[in-house]
Amino acid sequence: MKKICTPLLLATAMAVSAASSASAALTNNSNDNQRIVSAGNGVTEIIYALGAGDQVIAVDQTSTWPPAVNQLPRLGYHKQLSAEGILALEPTMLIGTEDMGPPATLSQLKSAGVEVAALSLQHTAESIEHQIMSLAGILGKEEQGQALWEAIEDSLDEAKALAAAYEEKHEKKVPVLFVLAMGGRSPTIAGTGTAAHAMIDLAGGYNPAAEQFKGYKALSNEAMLLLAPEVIIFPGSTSNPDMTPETLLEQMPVLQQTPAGKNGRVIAIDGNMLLGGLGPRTGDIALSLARSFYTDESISSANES
Amino acid sequence: MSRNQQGALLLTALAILLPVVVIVSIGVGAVPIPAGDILAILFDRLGFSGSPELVGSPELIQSSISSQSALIIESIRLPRTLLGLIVGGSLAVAGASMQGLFRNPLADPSIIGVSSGAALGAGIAIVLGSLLFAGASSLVQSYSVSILAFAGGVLSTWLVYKVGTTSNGTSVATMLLAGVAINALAGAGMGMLNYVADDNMLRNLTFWQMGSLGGATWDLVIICATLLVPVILMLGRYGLVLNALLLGESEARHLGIDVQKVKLILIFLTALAVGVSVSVSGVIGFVGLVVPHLIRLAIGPDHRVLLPASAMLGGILLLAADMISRTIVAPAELPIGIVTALMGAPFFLSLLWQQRKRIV
Repeated sequence: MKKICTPLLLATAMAVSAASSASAALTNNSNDNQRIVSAGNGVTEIIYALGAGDQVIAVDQTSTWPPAVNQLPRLGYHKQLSAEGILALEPTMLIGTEDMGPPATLSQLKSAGVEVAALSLQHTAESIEHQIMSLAGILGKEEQGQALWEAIEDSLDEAKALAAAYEEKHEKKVPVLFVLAMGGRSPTIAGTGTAAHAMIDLAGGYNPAAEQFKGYKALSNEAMLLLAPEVIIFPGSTSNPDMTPETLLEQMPVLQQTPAGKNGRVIAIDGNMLLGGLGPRTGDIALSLARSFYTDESISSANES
Repeated sequence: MSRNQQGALLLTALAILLPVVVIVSIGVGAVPIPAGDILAILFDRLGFSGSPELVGSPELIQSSISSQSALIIESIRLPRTLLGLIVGGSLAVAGASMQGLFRNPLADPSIIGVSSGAALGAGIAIVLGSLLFAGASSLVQSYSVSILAFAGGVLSTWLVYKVGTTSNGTSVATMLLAGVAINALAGAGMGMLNYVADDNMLRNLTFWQMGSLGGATWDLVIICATLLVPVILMLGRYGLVLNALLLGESEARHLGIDVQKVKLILIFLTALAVGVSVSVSGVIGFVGLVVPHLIRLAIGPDHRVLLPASAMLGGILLLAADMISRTIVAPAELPIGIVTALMGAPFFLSLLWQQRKRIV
């Protein structure tokens, strides 16, 4: 125990002195004593999944998982970071995505000796792998990173296998739509280039809206019926506990007329997970979605029709 | 006390208050820095101004001021304070000029379309910037929002002016209506942009429309100071002319004033002042409308006092709003447009309430 404590104490002392003299912070390579400010939901989740959560001192508005982050100070929106607000927390490192800003804040933080890491952000499995590996590198947690990514990859492979088995049998994938309910107006649907679309794709579904538009668009009722989704997913569960499949169908009667509505295949997922991009839970969520897309019932009911 | 004495008293009071607020603004922030350190850093810089290698110089370390404090003062608070001062002053003096020119207390710079045009320009840069500036240099790309906001503001002002102008001169009433129409048109354009924008762009648009001084850098301060300080000074010289205009346009003409030329210059200067301000800080509402009113309620409509007093009070008010904006939700930042409206509107209403009888 003593053997571990001594270098830890030493490193703490080093970190404290590093924080007080800004220029020294850059050369501070002690990976276990960073004071990390995380600006990105996916990034925060990965840091915690790598076991470095105790080094996180503040997070941005979109970071809501794991629940421990809700105790931390909030930085606000990750594109409107405040240089002085962040410096007051005496961080050694700011980690976020390439989306964060404004540029003036980032350069001010850099010149104050805060290490700024901006990870690339795309809605693909490769991007998750890249983020996990680069964060593992930054935090000195290469082994944990490898293990984390392998677990995610296994889940994604399993989801893919489920979809492939179904596709072989029926020569099509299940059409899935991601629906945002916006206060009783017409349903808003996720097209390409969204985290929701990526999630449908990773879960082995097929997003019929993807051919038509990018981003989120409000669809007319008729267009909604034309897309004929067999499964509808929507942000609910922990992020929005009041929204159940029943209330969604009630708010948007048109959804009741779709195959998904008729067969009661409306699934709530954690909407926060999609806000800041994909993250370490993506594998589990994709797999559980794939299981509900390709249940035995759905395969048999598709056989009957 | 006569009106003239009152005016002189007000100007003196504001001239004393202004540097005090500037110092407080430099002293207030999320990072606590002792007042002594701030003064030491400022005096140090004033003594050896212009030599950047002084950051972290032996003197500073000896006086036990961390280079971090020096950096926060120098590259965050000082540029931000100066920018707030210039932008607040420009918006308020432009508002006072427009209220004088249109002889309408409801007028503010947005009435000539400059704010909505600038917002549309910024919106185009945020949403379509990646297409429009694909081949441009990185410098142009990083300032694309500011450049297009300025261009949009000036262009819509020019349009409003053109619609209002015939061979007989400029009709202020027509300009007012044209301004309303241009505002509606720009609003429709913003609606279109909102519709095609993705989530990130939407949030950028929303935040831009709420304003912020957070982007302040020395480069921006220098650009703004070279453009706006002369504009403020020039607008400040139109006090007598605006006083004459209060009598009516033909009366002013009989007093020997070239009304058409005055209109053109005032509109041009206002477009410049507001266009530049909006392009660096986003839309900061209410300063241009409320500040001249506050002054007028205090000393009456003498533009010789109104214009310089508005400029100073505008700077003071914006600095105060910015202090709140950057500390109240630290480490995050509340958009300053929210603060100016939240602070200004109730205060303004309470003043109106007290003054009701006098106005009627």
